[in-house]
Amino acid sequence: MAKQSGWWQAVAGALAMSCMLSADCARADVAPGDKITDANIDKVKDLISPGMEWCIKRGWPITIVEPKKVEWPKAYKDATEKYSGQVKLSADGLNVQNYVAGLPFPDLDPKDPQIAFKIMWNYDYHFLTTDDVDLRNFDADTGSIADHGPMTVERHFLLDHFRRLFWTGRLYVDPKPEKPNPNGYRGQQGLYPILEPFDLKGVGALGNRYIDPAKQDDSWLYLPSLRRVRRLSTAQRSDALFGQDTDVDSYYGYAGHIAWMDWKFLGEREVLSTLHAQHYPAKWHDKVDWAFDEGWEKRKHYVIEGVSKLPQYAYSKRVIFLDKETWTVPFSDIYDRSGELWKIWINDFSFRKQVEGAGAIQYADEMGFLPAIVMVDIQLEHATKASLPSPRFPGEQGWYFNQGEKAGIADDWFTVAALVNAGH
Amino acid sequence: MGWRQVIGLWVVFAALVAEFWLVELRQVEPPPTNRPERRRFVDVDPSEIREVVCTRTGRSIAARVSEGHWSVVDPPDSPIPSDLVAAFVDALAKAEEIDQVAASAVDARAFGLDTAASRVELKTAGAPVVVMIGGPNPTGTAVYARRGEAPDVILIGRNVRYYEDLIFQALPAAPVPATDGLPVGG
Repeated sequence: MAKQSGWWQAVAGALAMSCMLSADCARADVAPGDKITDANIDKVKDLISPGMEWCIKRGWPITIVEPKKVEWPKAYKDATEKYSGQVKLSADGLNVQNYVAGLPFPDLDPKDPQIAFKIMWNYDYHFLTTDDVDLRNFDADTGSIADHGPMTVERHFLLDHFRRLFWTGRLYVDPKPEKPNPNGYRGQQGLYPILEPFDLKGVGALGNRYIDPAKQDDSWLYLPSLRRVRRLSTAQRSDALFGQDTDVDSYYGYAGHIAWMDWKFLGEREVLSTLHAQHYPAKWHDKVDWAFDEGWEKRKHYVIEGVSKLPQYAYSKRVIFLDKETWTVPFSDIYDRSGELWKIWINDFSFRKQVEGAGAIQYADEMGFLPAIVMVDIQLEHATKASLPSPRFPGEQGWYFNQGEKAGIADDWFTVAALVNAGH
Repeated sequence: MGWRQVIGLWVVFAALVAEFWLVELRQVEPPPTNRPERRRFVDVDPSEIREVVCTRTGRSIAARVSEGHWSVVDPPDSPIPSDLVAAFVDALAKAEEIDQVAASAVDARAFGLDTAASRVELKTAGAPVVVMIGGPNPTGTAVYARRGEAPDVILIGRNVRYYEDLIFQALPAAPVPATDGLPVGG
């Protein structure tokens, strides 16, 4: 009897322990080919954020694909090897000293008290755009989103150009690695003119960013209906523009100055991301048409929390996921001032050397094309989705990387005069 | 053109330049937000918290702060970043009451406040503060929580629970206990 009792105790003990462990310790996992919906979302619970969980429960379909390596551009890899050894971060984390080009901090130690800043500076100097980029002929829809259903489009936008010009860290277009830079620019950015809707025709935005973290961005908004150029404060970069859900600081996942946030390193984890989108232009899901229909890879990421130093900033914090290989953001959760989940920014990257179509530029390296982005306002059940480029322009390459003046990237495009001129 | 007209034009020009510099070029600050003041979920100064203990489904972590750096003391050698614990403590200590969902004894399971809840103890120089953190609300933007044994169910920001999830997910999977010591087969 005593012998029987011992055997049963062992089995019961092992069963109880395995049940306890499976409840909390078993890690959710996926395999290529898996289709994830709200019905089996537990399979990806450790691989997504609360914002992505909301999207999947709302109908966003996820197809798991095999992860693929992204090779760094050769010039960027060489610059990293050549210059990273001399780069230093100031004690307050706000200044990257002796930077020339490439990734500033390739060797990261999770125990380094400055790791969060170093990760974010790596993000700022990643190879997605080193010299310049011109995005042409893209459109966006904004509207309310149904549960497992489509977007009710309230506004449709068509935009002519989004351009970025970097003055430092340049690798391809002369002068390099830095343009003669009396103003101390890190970069300039413009989004103009809006072509549709009719009442916003000619509207545009422009901004300069300085290397000196003590200098705020110059940001302007041109409103042709008022014939006025409005200057925006840095905090207003977090305000949604043009009736969309998007704000300038959320572009790419985060587009503010690194020095204007307090950053915390929340760890490393595997997260789903879209880096090799098959569809170009973007393909939206047939039924849930605010969701791009692509394959998602399980990849290693850093998790970073950013809290703005500006009291007027719209958000209390951002939780940003950063791919450890490409330094891109698959998605970023954004919280309101009460700590309630508010928005999510989702990127659809397609690293490739060339887009399809006759005459498309053949790059020597894989470039980070971004055929779609979505920003969802979870509290309002509202979203903005953008096709970059628009499918209305067959053959349009959309993204033009490091083409300099051949792509119209000239210093005088980034002036208020040019912004106003284009709006007439 | 008479000299009076010239002076007049210069005065107008100077006024326009002054208007341009003082008004047009001045950065437009957004008006102060009219967000309603909300009560803090826990009445504790984040800087006074010295230790935090989180318990969930039989697993537990304890972390202590020293000179601004959080170290996980139990389980020892855990790969949990100091910043993650700091972000969790900060989020909880600064959490606002978004809504009071229920004020009396309710079905705790409906709010994830039963055995699935996390128990968090914030230790200060004074009496420790204990809270229970439950499941997310239907929209997934916030989580249900309770202060100690109080019956009220309060809605607080989702990121408190998410950071706690990250802490537990960073723990290595618990080792399966050895069966050697068990009286297998008697």
